[in-house]
Amino acid sequence: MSVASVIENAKVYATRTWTYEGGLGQRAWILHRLTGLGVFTFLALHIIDIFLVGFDPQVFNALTVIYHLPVMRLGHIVLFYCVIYHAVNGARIITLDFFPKLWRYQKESIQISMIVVMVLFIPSMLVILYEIIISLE
Amino acid sequence: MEKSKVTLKIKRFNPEVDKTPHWENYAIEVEPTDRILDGLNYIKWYQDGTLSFRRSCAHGICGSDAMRINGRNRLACKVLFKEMGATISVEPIAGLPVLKDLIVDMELFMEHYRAVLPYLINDDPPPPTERYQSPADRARFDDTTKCILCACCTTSCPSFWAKEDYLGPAAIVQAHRFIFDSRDQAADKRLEILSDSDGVWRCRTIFNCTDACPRNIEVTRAIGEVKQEMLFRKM
Ligand code: FES
Repeated sequence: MSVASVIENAKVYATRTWTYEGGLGQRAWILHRLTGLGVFTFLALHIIDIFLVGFDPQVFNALTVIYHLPVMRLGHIVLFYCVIYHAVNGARIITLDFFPKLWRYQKESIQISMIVVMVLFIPSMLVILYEIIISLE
Repeated sequence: MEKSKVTLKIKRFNPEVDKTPHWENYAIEVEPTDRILDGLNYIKWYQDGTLSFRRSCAHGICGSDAMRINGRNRLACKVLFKEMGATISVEPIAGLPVLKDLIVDMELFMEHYRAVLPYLINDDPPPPTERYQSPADRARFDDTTKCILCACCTTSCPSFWAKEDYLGPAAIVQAHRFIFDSRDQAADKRLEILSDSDGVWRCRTIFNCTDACPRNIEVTRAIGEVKQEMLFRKM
């Protein structure tokens, strides 16, 4: 498979997923994928920086400074959302897989998981925001 | 009943001249209780004879007129204009190669269907009367007997779009119909086929299939039951 055809396939797939009028379940799944990618990106970064400690602690220290920049700390909020959503939605899907009889309540299950996500996310977001503001002063 | 004007926006593709598909608009007058299929027929018979689509029974039984109507998979013969608005988009179901206009090549879909051995397997000699089945045993798989192989579910599934080797919801529904049939003896064989990486585990519990099924089969539930059976059978 050539690079061009891989890109073309990815484009077709993304448009299809984006334009198909699926229900709430499809949107929950798209978000699951996106947040999964978010967590993966952070993990990859983390593996690279830890690797740098062994390589040269100076470089690692320089990098941690970057992590503490206010902009990067806003990224923490995104990371928190990604982790929380991915975990809660994952637990929802596992539950539905183990209890197929609950299929009737899939819409409700998504609504409940969104509430759980918000309950976990909003306080953590406020804490991070608070810390960022304090550090700016 | 009063007629109203609607626009059917149809995705056209003629492999002999077109490189890529394009949209074409058709203005027609319909009654609110006309079906999308009536609109397509009208266009074919009176406006543009080159428009191609499959249909046969026109009563939601043969499954040949599955298409993507207003973004979602449906049977054109089971959807009324009054449910769809004044401008309606019609395109072929996604994930299977388009042959012409709204007609797709169903071979891959049928291949997946055949892969799950969708027929009764029982090596015991037939009894003099019948293979008895209690009403309760029959009820166990009643829902999945309703499948008409229209492909609405499989072609609404993002997992199938991502990997066409995935057997897809329709094949799993058909497998379910025999796995839970008390007269059948090949459940193990089917479960083995479905435990492949392109089998049941590629399902991400997205529910597009359940939403798309024109027969209201609880598709995701059936898939879930097969997953469960696979996990707990040997325990
Ligand atoms: S034409 Fe037979 S199902 Fe629609």
